[in-house]
Amino acid sequence: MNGFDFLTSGVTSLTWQMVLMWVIGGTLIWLAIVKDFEPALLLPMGFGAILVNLPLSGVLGDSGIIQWLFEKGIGVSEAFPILLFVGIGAMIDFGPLLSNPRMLLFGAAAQFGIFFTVFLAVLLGFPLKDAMSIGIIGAADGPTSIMVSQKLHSDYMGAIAVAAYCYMALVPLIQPAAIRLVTTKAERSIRMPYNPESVSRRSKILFPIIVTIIAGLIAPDSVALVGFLMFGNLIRECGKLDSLSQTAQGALANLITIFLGITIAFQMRADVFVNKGTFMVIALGLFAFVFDTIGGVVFAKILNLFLPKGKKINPMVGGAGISAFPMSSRVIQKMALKEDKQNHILMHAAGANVAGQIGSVVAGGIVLSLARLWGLM
Amino acid sequence: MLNLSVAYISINSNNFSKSLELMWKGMLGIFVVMLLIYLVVAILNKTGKKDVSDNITKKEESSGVNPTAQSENTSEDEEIFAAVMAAVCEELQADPDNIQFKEIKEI
Repeated sequence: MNGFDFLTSGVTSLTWQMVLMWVIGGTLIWLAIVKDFEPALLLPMGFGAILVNLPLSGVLGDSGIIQWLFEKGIGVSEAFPILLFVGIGAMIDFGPLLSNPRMLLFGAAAQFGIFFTVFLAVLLGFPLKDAMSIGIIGAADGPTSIMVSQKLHSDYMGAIAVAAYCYMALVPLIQPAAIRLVTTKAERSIRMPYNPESVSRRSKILFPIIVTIIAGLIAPDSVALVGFLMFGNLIRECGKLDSLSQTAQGALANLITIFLGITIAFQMRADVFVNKGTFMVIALGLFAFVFDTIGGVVFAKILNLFLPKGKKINPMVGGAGISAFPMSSRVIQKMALKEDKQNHILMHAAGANVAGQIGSVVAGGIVLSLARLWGLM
Repeated sequence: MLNLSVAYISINSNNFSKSLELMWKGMLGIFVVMLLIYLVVAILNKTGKKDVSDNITKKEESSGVNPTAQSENTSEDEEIFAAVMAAVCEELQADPDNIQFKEIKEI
């Protein structure tokens, strides 16, 4: 029988944990195709999870392609998540934010969930570096979560990436529930007239440069993320590089997305992924999203205490300060219309939403700066 | 055994205090960055407005006012257009691709 080992070695090396990972991979593919949950990321991740959990898988090891992609694309310099930011920056129009800059404050307030989740994770017994990585799920931003967890060498990187992308897709379910928890119908019905200030082309060009300098001076570790995000935006706004802008938004973003998803699957090997901690990470990720939303909403309610009647802010706009762009602003608009068919707060919510994009990368940078200060990286 | 548990508690309390420190320092850091950006954007918008009004005055002085001339597309126009389009689509439950504005009249 020994002569047939070459045919049976795979089957005999199979473990129940690997089969469980196939089921998880299949579930991710099902969520991507049937439920339309972030299909661009969850489908490659789901298929990758199956690939890396085949016994004696040829994609792992020194000559394995997925291990190589992980080591070169994420392990060495976090190249994939950072390059993806060029595409994201090229997709974002900061116009609604520039014409209504007070929305920047919600982009800050709605990062509260990150830090509250770190606190919860520490209470649950996670080491500080893992707790910080788990908290970053609340950035509602896949590349930032991947980069921070990789820099902190967290053991839960795979679970963090899965949680970040799944909850981003679940924003239409999570945010309405969290917002209803802390607002009244009257608050959700507050109307906000839209009187945007005009934005010059010069402002749109200078904005990415200024944001990079400010964020770089205060949180140097955010420079890679903020810098590449703003570089993409500068390509978009300069008006001279339309072809590059289109490439960044389309081909570049698509190419990196394909490889990022399947590369992350390297961290979904059964021996790394199947443990109690993974499930706790996924549960904590939900807390992060909920408390992000609550942070933004409560901050808007606090501001309303000081604002005169007629100038009050619909607190739901604060909830749009998370980074899940543009889904969060659409969810807020839908909720506003549900309460009052004439209440259109989409542009306010979009402003807060793009501010959240900046806020989340700055939060990632600050977490890394403090981790460096505390000798965690 | 006792020594071990004492060490365990002290490590956790250290992490606990650091997580609280991270919370206030993190939120402070983000607000400082955002407030600085807010300040710069406000200044940019102010100077931008001045530039725009200066340009308009110069144009009016050099070529006179042409009331029938088409206004240039500004980002403000685009945003208003997007907001109106979103409102109309939501009201009519229609796809934005199937709707086209032909005329907007002031009532």
